[in-house]
Amino acid sequence: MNAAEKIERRRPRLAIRLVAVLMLTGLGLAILWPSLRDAKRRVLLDATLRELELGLERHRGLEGTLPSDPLLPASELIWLLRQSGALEAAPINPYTGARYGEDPFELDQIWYSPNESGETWTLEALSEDGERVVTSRRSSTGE
Amino acid sequence: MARRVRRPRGSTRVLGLRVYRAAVLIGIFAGIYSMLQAERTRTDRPITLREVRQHAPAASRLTRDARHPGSWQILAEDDALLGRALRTSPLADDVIGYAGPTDTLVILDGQDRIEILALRRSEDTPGHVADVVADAAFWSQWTGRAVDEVVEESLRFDAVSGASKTSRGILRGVQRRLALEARGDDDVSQGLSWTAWDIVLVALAIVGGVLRWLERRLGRWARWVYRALSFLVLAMITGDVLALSLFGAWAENGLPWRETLGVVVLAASALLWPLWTGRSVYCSDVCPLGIAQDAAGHVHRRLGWIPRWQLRPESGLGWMLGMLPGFLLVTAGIAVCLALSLDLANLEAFDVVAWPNARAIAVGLAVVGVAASLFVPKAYCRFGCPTGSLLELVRTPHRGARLRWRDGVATLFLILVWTLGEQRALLESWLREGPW
Repeated sequence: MNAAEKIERRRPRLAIRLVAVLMLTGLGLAILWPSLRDAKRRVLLDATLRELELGLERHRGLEGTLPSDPLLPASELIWLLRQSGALEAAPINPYTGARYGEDPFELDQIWYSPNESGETWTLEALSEDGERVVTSRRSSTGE
Repeated sequence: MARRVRRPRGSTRVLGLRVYRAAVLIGIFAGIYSMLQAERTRTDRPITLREVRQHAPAASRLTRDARHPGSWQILAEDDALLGRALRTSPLADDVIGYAGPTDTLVILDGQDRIEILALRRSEDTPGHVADVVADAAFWSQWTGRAVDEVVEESLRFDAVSGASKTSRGILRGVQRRLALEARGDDDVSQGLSWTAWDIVLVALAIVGGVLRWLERRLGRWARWVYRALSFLVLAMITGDVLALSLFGAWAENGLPWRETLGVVVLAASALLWPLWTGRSVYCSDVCPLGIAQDAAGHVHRRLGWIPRWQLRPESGLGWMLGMLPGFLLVTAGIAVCLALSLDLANLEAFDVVAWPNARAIAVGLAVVGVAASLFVPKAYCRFGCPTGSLLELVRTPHRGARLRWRDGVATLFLILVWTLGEQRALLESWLREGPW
């Protein structure tokens, strides 16, 4: 058997191997897919919290104080911040992927609460299962 | 006349390969550790009012306690002091129970007695953490104890059966945090918490390698006695089986040598023996699933009538199944690097040693794997075990050692890990924009 015949005999096997690699890659992606969606939500949440933090800092600069309501959902906080000019555009709601305010019945799981008057605040975000909590805190002293 | 010792041909190449493979593996683990530590610092989770209210409904606000840095005064609506809230993280993040640190919420009453102790989040093995959370007696034994009493190192307490290292880790974290509160120092957790089983595991790790050298002199019976002992200790008593979830957690949190020396030495021996001798002692003589599969093969030989199938690597199915463990290993590696919420224990069968609290998927994989090895020799090891694939990555025999495609994949992965560590912004934008 010459070299060309050998290559010819290998061809179907190579095709099978390619199919096998594709199938295994698909399996790997199928395993990772749900946790990649979680990670996307986490990254979006992080970005939204950062935007809200910046908005709160600007609000303090403009109004001299933080919003004083004891517990505000993100949609109401964003409305307040936009009214004062501290936030230009509504951030993306990490739970829906759309911007806040676009959907009147949107899922709102980020909550703002001032811990001490004018000093610190907490932004608390619940995961969809209502268990995991992500928080963010800033104060005028940089804590 | 002095006998001349002939240096085996290619020994420099073999030594070079060993050093290279060890360096790649260490580089991957160090890269993941440094990347995820930076991520952890960035995503700190302070105590929130909502969280405190779950345990103290009368709480109206939290205010910083000037006398105790890092703790918060819990105030009622009329500003009456209800108690104090503090957490064990980040101070006790280096206290690793079994596979990772645990952040615990401590609520003290007005007299500095523990009122509530609750788990906030844990990076330990999810199964062990669930066992600890479900054990009400473990948490209630703290209630009413004074801070000074808890930080006493002679304190005796009941660990959670089946999750003793995780529960001990929680205790040490709380002790360390409260020591800072009571005495202003946190040297409680600097001690070692090795148990007799750690010594047994160290002995198993050493004896396993020695037995392989003395096998011809001692006979096969010595190896079977050793296997039976390993099976008894790992599968029936300690449950300390090496698994991807364990390696992943160690890459993320560091080696818990203070807490679980035995498992660390067992893992080191599982990597070093194949690296320096080319023989995977752990897979064949220590791993309970490997032993069970060998026993199944033995049963096959004794019965004689069960058909034996050889899945040839040349066949499409044999080749694909042979690649499966490597693909699972890469999948797990990607999940660890990206800090995904994938539970690695679901990718393999080793959680079966946590019986009766084992996951159904692990039990299923173990049963199918051992049953399949009645027909196909070492079926699970060859076609399903990603941990075995990790150990195989470093296996370098004395003869015939050469660079393999696995080395290329490992090197690419090493480059990927360090690149991702430097390019977090790029990674985040990729995660944000992806089609998932």
